[in-house]
Order: sequence, then structure tokens, then C-alpha cells
Amino acid sequence: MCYLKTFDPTVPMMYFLCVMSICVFTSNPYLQACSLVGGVVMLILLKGRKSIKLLLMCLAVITVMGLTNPLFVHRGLTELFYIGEAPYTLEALLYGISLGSSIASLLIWFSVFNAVVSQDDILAVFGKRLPKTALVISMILGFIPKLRKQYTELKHAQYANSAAGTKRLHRTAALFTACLSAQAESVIDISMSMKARGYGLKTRTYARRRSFRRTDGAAIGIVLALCMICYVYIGSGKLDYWYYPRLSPGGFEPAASGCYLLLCIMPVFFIIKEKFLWRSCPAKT
Amino acid sequence: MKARIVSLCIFLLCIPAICVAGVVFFRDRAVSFASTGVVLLMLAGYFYVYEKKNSQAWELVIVALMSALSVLGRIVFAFLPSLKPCSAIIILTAVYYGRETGFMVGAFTALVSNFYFGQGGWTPFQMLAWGLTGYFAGMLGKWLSKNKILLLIYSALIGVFFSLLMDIYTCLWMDGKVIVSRYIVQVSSAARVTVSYAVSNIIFTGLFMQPFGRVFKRLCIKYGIGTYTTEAAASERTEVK
Repeated sequence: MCYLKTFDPTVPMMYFLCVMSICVFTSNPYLQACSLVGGVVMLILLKGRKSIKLLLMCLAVITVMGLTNPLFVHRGLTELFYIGEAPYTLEALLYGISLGSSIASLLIWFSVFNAVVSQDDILAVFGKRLPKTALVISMILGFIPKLRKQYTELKHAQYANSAAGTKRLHRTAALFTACLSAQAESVIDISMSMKARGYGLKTRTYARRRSFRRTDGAAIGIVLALCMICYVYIGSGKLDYWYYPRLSPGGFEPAASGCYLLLCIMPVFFIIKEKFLWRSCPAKT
Repeated sequence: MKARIVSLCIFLLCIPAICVAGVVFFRDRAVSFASTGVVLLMLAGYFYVYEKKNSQAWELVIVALMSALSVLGRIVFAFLPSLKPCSAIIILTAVYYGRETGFMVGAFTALVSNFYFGQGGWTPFQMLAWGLTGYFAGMLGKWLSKNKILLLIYSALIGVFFSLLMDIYTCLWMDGKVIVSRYIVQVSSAARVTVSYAVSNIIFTGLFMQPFGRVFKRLCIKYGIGTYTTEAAASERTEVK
């Protein structure tokens, strides 16, 4: 099942860039909570039961980071107890939890990114702008299964040939070299054929499957506007939050947090709409 | 020429701009923002130059083949933790085909193998670390291709370098800045991994050195490709005759 395919692939990629650029680097707990909430909701909607493992891992990351940070950092005024000579402070504990949740939200958002944006989308966005890189990546993705198939065939041949006397590492290295020497010349043939068909000429054209529509522009505009509001607030210093020596009293801006929460849960609307359409679709049965 | 100017602009203007923006916007995590930005910009500058450069079709194909091979290595050797032939393959490619090819093979190996192992904030750092592995090997290629012991020493050192760079990344991600004590803890707790990187680089470079060299030399003699082409190939060609 794939979601958000009604948009140009630039839209989801822009969206993830905006969301992640804020959630990774901010230390404001309210923004972090927004990104965690949005990420968890999206992850559960997209992956369902498969998301439990990742969520448990994230919980473990937050707990471990929270509990171990006061062992390294002894700043902060509220001492909970002492380990040897060193104080174990509440501020360091909360700071650790904040660090853990920024790692956790990064993991969650990358998982959401992988669920929404496929390799095809990445190539569609960069194929026009970075033709050489996109070509090389698609070639690599083509070579890997080829090499893998050859590797397996050679491995079976080697077993049949009873080369089991040699060490496993040596055998694998020999297989690798065999793969390389078998593929290298055929690959050079590919390059000659590319050259013969006019690779690198200026007059080559690209086919585009889908044009950039007005709704795509509007979606990117909304995403960028929400992101810019957050950035303006961050730049103005109203969202500064510090943990040492004492937790800062301010740092909560309803407008900024609201914008960021809106940004984080915006795709949920489209995903639910698509799910609903799919449920009520007569072609399903 | 234009590409060089643009990449110089990236290096001289954008990187300081990113650092300043990090300090202005994210006071607390300025270092983490700035370093990630710098890593991304370095990669962007390099890829931009690569895009604009007129390269032969065989260069692209060799980059693709060697990256695919080292990704395959990472997949096949997944049964041995942190014992990977990737660095060895990147180093040997760079030695025979020059620093630019080496950089691209390293960067693409990290990028594409993370399609299989999972993308994350570590991807740009891995791309840069492996890219630099290839770049330096290509720079020293003249000496490394002649002296086998030097090649083994280089591969061990670069394994340590790779591990240290990734430790900086881990540290930045955990704290938003480099706390020296935490970095030392990180390095010492990752010491086993560092040593295994160095050892695996030595093992795989030693194993692959001769067969890969043979294949590359053959390509060079048969099709005339590679930086190895000059006198060495000519002399060997006469020997073959």
C-alpha cells in the first residue's frame, strides 16, 4: 500500500526535509513532543502492527539516554541522590530524556520517510537535476541482483567442486574476484554501447511521467510557510530552552508549537482520506 | 571551470553561512547542525563538480560496478559483524582509477548499501568517511600501487580514521556538541570495532590486492582504460608480447 502518491514526489521530500530539519536540532521540549506525536501517529497509520518493534526500540533509547546522561554530566541544581561523590541531578535526567527523544523522533521519521518515499520517487526528483548521479545509482541497483545471482551460482559450483578444504574467508574472497572478473568485461561492453548510442550528448531529452500541478505548488507553499513560521520563532529566541542550572520557565509559544504540530500531522489527513477511499472502493472485492 | 568556481563558492561562502546559521538558530545544538550542514555541503560540492565534469562512459560504469560489488560485500559478509570488504574494494579501485572515482565509489557504497541497511542521519557521515577513504587512496595511488606493505599500512590507518569519524558523529548526535570525556568514552567503548575495522581492512586488502590488480591491469591492456595506462602498461604489453 502506498500513500501520498497523488502528489508530485517533490512534495513529500520537501515535507520531510522541513519536519526533520527542525525536530533533529531543536532542544525545545514542546517542539520535540509535537514531532514525536506526529511521527508516532504517522508510523502507526502507515505500518500498523509492524511499527511496534521500532516504537519499543525508541522507548528503550529514551530511557537509556535519560538514565545514563546524569552519570556523565553533573550540572543542575536539583540533586536527586549521590553516586559516590557525584550528584545525580534532575536537570541532567530531563536533558538526557530530551536528547533521547530527539534521536527517537529521528528514527521514527526516517522510518515514515522510507514508508512514503520509494527509490523511484528519489530517482524521479533527482533524475532531471543530477542525471549522472541518478544514472549511476540506478546502474548500481541493477548490478546488485546480477552480481548476487552470479555469486550464488559460483558458490554452488564451488561446493560441487569440493573446495571445502580451504578456509571460508578465502573461498568467499575467491568468489568475489570471480564475480569481478566475469562482470568487468561485460560492463565495459555496456559502456561502449552507451557511447555508441550517444551518451553525454547535449541534445538528449527526458520523458516526464507527470507534470507539476497547481495542487503540488499549493502543498509545498503551505509546508514552507508553516516551516518558516517555526524558523522565525526559533531565530527570534522565544523558543530557547535551557536545562542548566535550572529548567527554564518559558520556551512555550502556542503559535510556534501549534504550527509545528500542524506541520507534523498534516499528512495524516491525506492518509486517512486515502484509507477511507480504499475501504469504500467497490473494486476492492 | 564554472563548476570549480561554484564549488569554491560553496566551500568559502555557504559553509561559514551554515556555521553562523547554526549559532543563530540552534544555540544549544549549534555544533551538530553546523557539522551536519558542512558534511552535506561538502558532498553537494563534490557531486556538483562530478555532474559538470565531462566524464567518459566507462568511468561511470566502473564506478557503478565497483560500488555494486562493495555493497554486495557488505550484504554477503553480514554474517561477520563489522568485518566488511567495502573499504578494501574502495581503496583498490581508487589506487587504480584515481581519486575522483575512489570518492564516488565510497560515497555511492554508503548511499546505496543504506537502501538495504536503513537510511539515517549517519548516511552523510558514512558517505564522507568512505569517500575520503577513496580520495586519499587515489591521491597516494602512485606509491600505494607499487608498495604492498604501504598499502596494507594505509588500509589499517584508514580503518581507524573511519571509526574515529563515525564516533564523532555518534557523539554529536547524542550531545549536540563534542564533550571530550564522552568522546573518549565513546572511542574506548568502540575500540573493539575500531580494531576490527583495521584488521578486516588488512585482511581484505591482502586477499584482494593481487586478483583485483590483475583484473584492472587486464582491462587496461585490453581496452586502454584507467590511470594505470602509462609506462607500466606499455612495458607489460611488451612483456606479454
